Amino acid sequence: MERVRESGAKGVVLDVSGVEIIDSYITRILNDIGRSVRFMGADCFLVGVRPAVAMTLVEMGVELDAVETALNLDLALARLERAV
Amino acid sequence: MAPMTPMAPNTVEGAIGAVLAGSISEITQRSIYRRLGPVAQIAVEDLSEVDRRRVLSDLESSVRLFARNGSTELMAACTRALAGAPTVEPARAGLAVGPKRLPIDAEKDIAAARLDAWSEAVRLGLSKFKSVKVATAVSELARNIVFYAGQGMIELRPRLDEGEPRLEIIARDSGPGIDPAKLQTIFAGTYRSDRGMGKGLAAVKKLTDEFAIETAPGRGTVVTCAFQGER
Repeated sequence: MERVRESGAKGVVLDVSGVEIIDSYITRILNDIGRSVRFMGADCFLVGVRPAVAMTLVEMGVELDAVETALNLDLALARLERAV
Repeated sequence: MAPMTPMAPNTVEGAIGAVLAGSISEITQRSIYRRLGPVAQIAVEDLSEVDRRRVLSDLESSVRLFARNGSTELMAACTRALAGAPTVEPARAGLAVGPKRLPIDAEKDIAAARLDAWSEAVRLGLSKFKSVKVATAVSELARNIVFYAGQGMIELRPRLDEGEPRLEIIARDSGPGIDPAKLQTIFAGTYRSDRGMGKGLAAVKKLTDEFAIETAPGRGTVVTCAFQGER
């Protein structure tokens, strides 16, 4: 959060392509980060959610509603650039 | 002794261990068994009446000292366990390997349980997607134990029923329990806890093929669920 302020970042990208399990607790942490970043006026992107993780989250009925999602880092950056 | 289980269930130690699991930490249990001496390794059926009484009176002081709550119920269960009938069913034909019991005492045990559950699911032949669901469900159950009960136990029971893989998961703790009204809001999806999202249990129910919960205030919580392999 300090880095967002110091650098004047327009966005934060969280890459979870290496994360094989996301449960409701981790979802909450991701949402909290997304909300905090949004409060600071930046966009928060989650990229690289694995297919099995995505399907599991849908089945669990939990929402990742405080972060934007993109397929990968490049697409997230492209969307951030367009938004600037 | 079976290679996959830490102790044979039909020994005195195994029978008592099955009762004390989740109520007394493994370390404490081990010291209790050491104090019992060689009799801990005897099969329950071979235990003489004199030894049985000695074991129970030795146990009583330890259980009163170490059990977080319900020492009277625990002692009653120990007495039943040593009465001859094995409390843990011996490996049946359908059981792929022995059950795996994972003590959950701290944050680090959540990640370990998640990995154990995952490798168990993969080894049993569940699909990749199903294995991720298994690991996620175990993660939720383990986190609930650490957050709300402090300590408990998760048991993984791999089975092969007529070639169909099936993984049964039992999460047990002697924590505060959940009252019926709260349980209702949890499964209605309207419950929000201070620390989690209050969605863990409802999520587990949605992920699993079978789900049951036994809980009441002051009585701890037992969640029994199962994942069925698909062809």
